Amino acid sequence: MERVIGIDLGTTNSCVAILEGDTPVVIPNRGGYKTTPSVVAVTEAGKRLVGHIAKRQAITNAENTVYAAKRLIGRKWNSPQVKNAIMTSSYTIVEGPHADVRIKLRDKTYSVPEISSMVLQEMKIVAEDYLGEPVKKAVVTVPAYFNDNQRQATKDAGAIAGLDVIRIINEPTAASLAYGYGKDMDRTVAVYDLGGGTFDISILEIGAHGVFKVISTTGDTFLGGEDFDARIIDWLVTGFQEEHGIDLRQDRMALQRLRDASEKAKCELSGVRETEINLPFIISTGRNEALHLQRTLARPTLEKLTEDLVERTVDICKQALADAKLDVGEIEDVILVGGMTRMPAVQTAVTGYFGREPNKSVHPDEVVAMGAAIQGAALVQDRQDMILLDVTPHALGIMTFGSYFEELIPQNTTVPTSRTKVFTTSRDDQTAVKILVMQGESKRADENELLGEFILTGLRRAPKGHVEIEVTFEINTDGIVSVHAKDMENGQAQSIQVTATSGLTQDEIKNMMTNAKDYLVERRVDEHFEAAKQEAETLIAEIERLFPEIERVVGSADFGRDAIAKARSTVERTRAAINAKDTALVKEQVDQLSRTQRMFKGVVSRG
Amino acid sequence: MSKNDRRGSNVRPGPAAPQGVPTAEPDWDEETVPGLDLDDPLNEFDRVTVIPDLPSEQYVKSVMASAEDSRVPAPGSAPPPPPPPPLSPINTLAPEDYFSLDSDPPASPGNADSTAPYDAIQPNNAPTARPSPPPLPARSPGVPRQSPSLSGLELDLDSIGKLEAEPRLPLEGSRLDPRDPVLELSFDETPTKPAFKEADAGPLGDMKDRYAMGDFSGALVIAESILEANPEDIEAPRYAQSCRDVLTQMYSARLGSLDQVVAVAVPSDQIRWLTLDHRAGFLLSLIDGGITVDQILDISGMTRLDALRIMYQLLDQRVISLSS
Repeated sequence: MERVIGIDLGTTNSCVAILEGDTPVVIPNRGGYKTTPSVVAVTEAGKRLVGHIAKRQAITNAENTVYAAKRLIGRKWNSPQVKNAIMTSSYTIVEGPHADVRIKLRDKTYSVPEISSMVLQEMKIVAEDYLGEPVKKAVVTVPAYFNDNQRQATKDAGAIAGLDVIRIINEPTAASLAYGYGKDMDRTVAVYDLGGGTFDISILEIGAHGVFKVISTTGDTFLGGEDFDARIIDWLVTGFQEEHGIDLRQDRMALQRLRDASEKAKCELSGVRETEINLPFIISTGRNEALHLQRTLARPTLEKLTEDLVERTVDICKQALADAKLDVGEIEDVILVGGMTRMPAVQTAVTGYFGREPNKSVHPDEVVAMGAAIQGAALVQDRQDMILLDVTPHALGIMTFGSYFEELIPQNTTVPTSRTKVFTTSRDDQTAVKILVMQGESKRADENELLGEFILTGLRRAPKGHVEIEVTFEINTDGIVSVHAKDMENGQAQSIQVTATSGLTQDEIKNMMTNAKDYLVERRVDEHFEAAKQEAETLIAEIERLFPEIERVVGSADFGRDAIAKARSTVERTRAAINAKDTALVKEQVDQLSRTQRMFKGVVSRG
Repeated sequence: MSKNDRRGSNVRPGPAAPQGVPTAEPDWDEETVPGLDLDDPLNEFDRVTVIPDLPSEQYVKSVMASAEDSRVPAPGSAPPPPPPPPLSPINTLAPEDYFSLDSDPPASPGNADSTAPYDAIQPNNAPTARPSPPPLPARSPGVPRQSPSLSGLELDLDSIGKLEAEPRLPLEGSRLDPRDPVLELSFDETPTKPAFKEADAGPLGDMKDRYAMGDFSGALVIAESILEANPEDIEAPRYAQSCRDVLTQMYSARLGSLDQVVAVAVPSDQIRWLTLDHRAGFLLSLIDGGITVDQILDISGMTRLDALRIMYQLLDQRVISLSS
């Protein structure tokens, strides 16, 4: 049966998992890490870097390193989030041809789905390396608050990466699945997700037969582990400045080291009471000497430094419960998600607020990807008891007089669905009406997402309120929304089909897919060459080590001299093949080298 | 050895001048230069003229072979045998063919014996920092400058490619390829002397001299200082680019395969007692046990040349080790 991977495409880190038997397994990357930073960079030489390697140069090559692309995916150019990102990002954000967002790296401009596709492609490669077979299908998770455009953009990113995204599911839902909820269980849970860059709290009602209802979700897209790191950096920089009068922030290399060391210290303090931060040669003084930074950070100091950040998450939890119209006592379980929830102070705060110990049975970094993998397996195995119902992530409706939002299809409605409502004209002799199709939960239309608009003309002239217009919303199984408006008296009708868009055309997506495929082929070719080269070099080293002994043993005989000459010639041919980057020839030579090595070893052992 | 002998055998063969580049002054004669005693062991110019009249690649091969045991001979000891005669064409040298990190450290400058064979090309003579830009005031025309400190670093440039006395203009809009013939030396019958035209006096001439003599680090520093003073200069960018290319190749060759994994070879509690600058400290901080040389170059945030140079210095000081 075809394997489906589950991918947690995070703001700061991503994770991939697969179901093996009945157990979800997180797949480590080549470095042995189970999460991969969602960071993409382009080096001065034009080389693409993804993951840890990209993160480790994020400050020294800040202008060409994209992080937190998830904050931008599926957003329109004029959205407040994009404006905010323009102000705060070190990379250049420009307007795309369809009022979408593009990112400039070196001399090339990339769409946001394209950037995210690079991370997804990396996760696909990690899975393929582990499984030893190509992977085509995936379930990808997104925050519960993502609208249709953001979800579509994530799907497009998957397509560009060569993945068929068979389902997009909400992160808190995936986490709940991994914790074992959903099997004839009926309870209300809170999913507290404190990741590297964002904080989300979701209140879910889990019912029997796989019904996961997101009652409320809220959060802060600029609150996460990086803020905790920043506090440690501040502490280190201030201390160093007091001691030496040098501001380490002015030096990018120093700042990169501070960031790496701060993150490491923060993680260590979840397990130990204190840790040493040791950064030798952190900065040169200009007097031909370099200074070292060495400080000990204790857990209470870290907790003091980040107290307000933890408090902020609790305030947001209060807001989420208020939105859900629930009392804290009605929460039956609290699920922790995200690496930051390993911090003891965070766990204490959560326990304090919810009045119960949070569930920590699954690794918080991996739980979302595991849930996605569980869902992926259920979809291909057609296990109806485990398949989540596809629901509308947000309410759908139209804008009415006074800029109000009138809801037609409520949030969490199972699709396919259809709803109808009747509206009237808002002024006398009105002959046309503009229908603005929107998505969101706010009563104020301007706070919701505009999906599309059309005008219904030819209305009968009459006093306001006398002409009735019937508006029908339909969502089919593919999630395509159709909106019809009809003058109930004269039958005059108009309609629009709203398809979620990432801001990319089909042609653009096709081109990007081709580019991504080319990149993958190139990368695989390089990898094959490197593997063959390494094998050849190891054999050459071994053969050359044996040459003196071979010459001693058989060098005096004609056949011995012939064998040695042949071996030397094979070594030279292999070196030439390596220099020419000829993978096939190197592989061919490896066989000969192996034979030579075996023969030499045999001679030496007998001699 | 007479001065004539020395000059006859030691002046480096030069190439034909490339288009658009001033040719060497034909009537320059080092014998007439006041204040330059070629027998003075402390005369650095003398030390660079020990290059034999051999194709550079063969010369370097032989020198590097001898560098395995590059101790300064004891006074009165017999001079080493001359370099071997030319052999069949040699491919690019692997660093281990000619270079050993186990070489003895160089003799202190004060005790340096300029007559010691190939003293100047001991690997450990490689500079640990870029030379300071030379003073800008121009010297009187025709008077050769005191030669810059030429270490083995510059001289064994020959091991990675033959050199022209002056770089050629790269094609417009193209990047210099390390394999570009700009790095090749044409072995003319008539050796070319360093150019000391009046127009080349001052930093420009100094830069060309250093370039011609293989001091690419020094030439690069001067080229950059010229460009800083006059960004419109036509020649300096060509020289700078050519120097960068040659130095990049040289350090790459010395490090070996860039796919090697880098490890810190010094216990972490002893690192702070090393003599490093913050850039070397930064590169050290990137080493996590799995990172390769190439990856470090990618994420160093420095130019490839700077990162290569520091990596080489760290390897040379045995602060790091490389493994396949």
